[in-house]
Amino acid sequence: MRALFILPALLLIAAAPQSLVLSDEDGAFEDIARNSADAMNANCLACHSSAMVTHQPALTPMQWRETITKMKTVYKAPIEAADEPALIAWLTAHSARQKPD
Amino acid sequence: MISRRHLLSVLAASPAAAAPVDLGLGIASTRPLADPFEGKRAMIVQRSLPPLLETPLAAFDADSLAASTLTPTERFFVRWHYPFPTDIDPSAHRISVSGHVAKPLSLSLEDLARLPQTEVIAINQCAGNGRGLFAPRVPGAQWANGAMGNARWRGPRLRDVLALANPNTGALAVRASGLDAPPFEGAPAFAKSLALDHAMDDEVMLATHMNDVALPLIHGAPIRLVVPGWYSTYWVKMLDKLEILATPDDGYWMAKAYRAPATPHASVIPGASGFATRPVTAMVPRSVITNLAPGARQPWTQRLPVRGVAMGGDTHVAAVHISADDGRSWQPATLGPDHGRHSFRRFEAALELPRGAHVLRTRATNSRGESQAMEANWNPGGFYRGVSEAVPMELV
Ligand code: HEC
Repeated sequence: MRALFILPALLLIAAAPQSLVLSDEDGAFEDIARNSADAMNANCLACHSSAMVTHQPALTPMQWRETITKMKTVYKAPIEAADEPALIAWLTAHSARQKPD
Repeated sequence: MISRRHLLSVLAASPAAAAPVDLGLGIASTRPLADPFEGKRAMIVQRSLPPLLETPLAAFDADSLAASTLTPTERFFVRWHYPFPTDIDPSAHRISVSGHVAKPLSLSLEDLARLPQTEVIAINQCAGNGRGLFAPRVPGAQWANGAMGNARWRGPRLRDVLALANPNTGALAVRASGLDAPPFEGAPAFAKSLALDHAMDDEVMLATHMNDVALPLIHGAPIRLVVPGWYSTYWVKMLDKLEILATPDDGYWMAKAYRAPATPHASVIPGASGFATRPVTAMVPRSVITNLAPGARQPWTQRLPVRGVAMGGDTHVAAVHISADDGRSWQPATLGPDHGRHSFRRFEAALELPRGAHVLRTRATNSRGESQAMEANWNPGGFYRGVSEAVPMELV
């Protein structure tokens, strides 16, 4: 009986359409000294905002290389081979800059 | 004249201007604390898009053991891998049930509302909760300990939905996926599977409601999987497909990602390789202090209240102990009401401590007698953190 009684209310509530506006508050990657962020902004913002990258702990150039390979092979990131040195340079500079707070 | 009290409430009501918080991770530790979009307030923003939002531990705090253990939805953590639709019309939504079944189906929410409805209070926790605290650090979402929440979920049992489609003999597993989708062709769609006997148990459900209202879009409207006692990776959001498999799921998200070493506490020596892995599954006991942050400087009082929330993993919390000397001696905490084996349970104690520096620890024990470890586990994925956390603080 109880189940029957709550049924119409349940249907009504769950049936209302919903929408949401999301925005990118993380912003673009910024140049680090002489390491331009252009390659980062061109290659690393299509699937996630920048904080996915900037909040990582300091990684080695090897770990960053592996990350880029994962983005390409698993998630099909269209990253130009010619951009990779600039990406690794920026990421390595970013890691080098991080110090314990 | 505007009273100070009024002024404070006005300030609190305006959108938080991204005040930074330090998560205590060492490097790369600061995050904005913000109201990132409608329906979410004072969240630690780990990533804007797709959103990764962490709950500050203070949001779990209450000064009474009898207080609700449900996490307010506006403070509930958020975790998406891929972009997802930001407009949802529940009346147009369909869930397909296909694969190794006698009767493939396409079900509306109305069809599901006709099935018996069930309700559970259950913790939803990311498998990587606490990843940012791993030493040495590992890549991935850099959560502190707030990638979890407790809610009341309501909807039909998965079992009853599967029964409508009548799985064939030889059915092994159920693979669930939703409306979130990878932006580039060829990337693996997010899909997770449960063994058929697990999918057919009493508890696994398809939730249309969270904390007594329609499931919010950001938490997977119009319907998500709820797998009480198991990590959130299985709680597929915006569910639109159930596939019954006759062979093991070899998809990326089961066979490659969300895997941990097949060792006690899923732990290996940092840098180890070549170990066997298995998918992350059931949660482990945990407890967090909610009224004192690490590094807190508190005015001395005779009896310092220490309180928080605990979980048993996939069973009841049986006890919580508190130490003020980094784990050398322990005293039992008083427990709040037990809201079921999948819920947070509150605990509190009053500690009589001298002025000076102290290292607090809490240790939950579940009804199987499993307690939190004193040493942190380590694995390259940053999964299954369950260590008794050290909270250094000072009484001044
Ligand atoms: C084609 C889509 C795509 C592009 C382009 C992309 N990523 Fe990712 N990336 C992902 C996905 C999907 C994840 C997993 C997201 C999650 O777990 O929420 C991810 C996760 C990450 C992580 C977290 C660690 C990990 O291994 O999961 C890092 C770091 C990262 N990306 C860095 C980068 C960098 C640097 C670039 C540019 C060179 C980049 N990404 C470009 C899709 C992409």
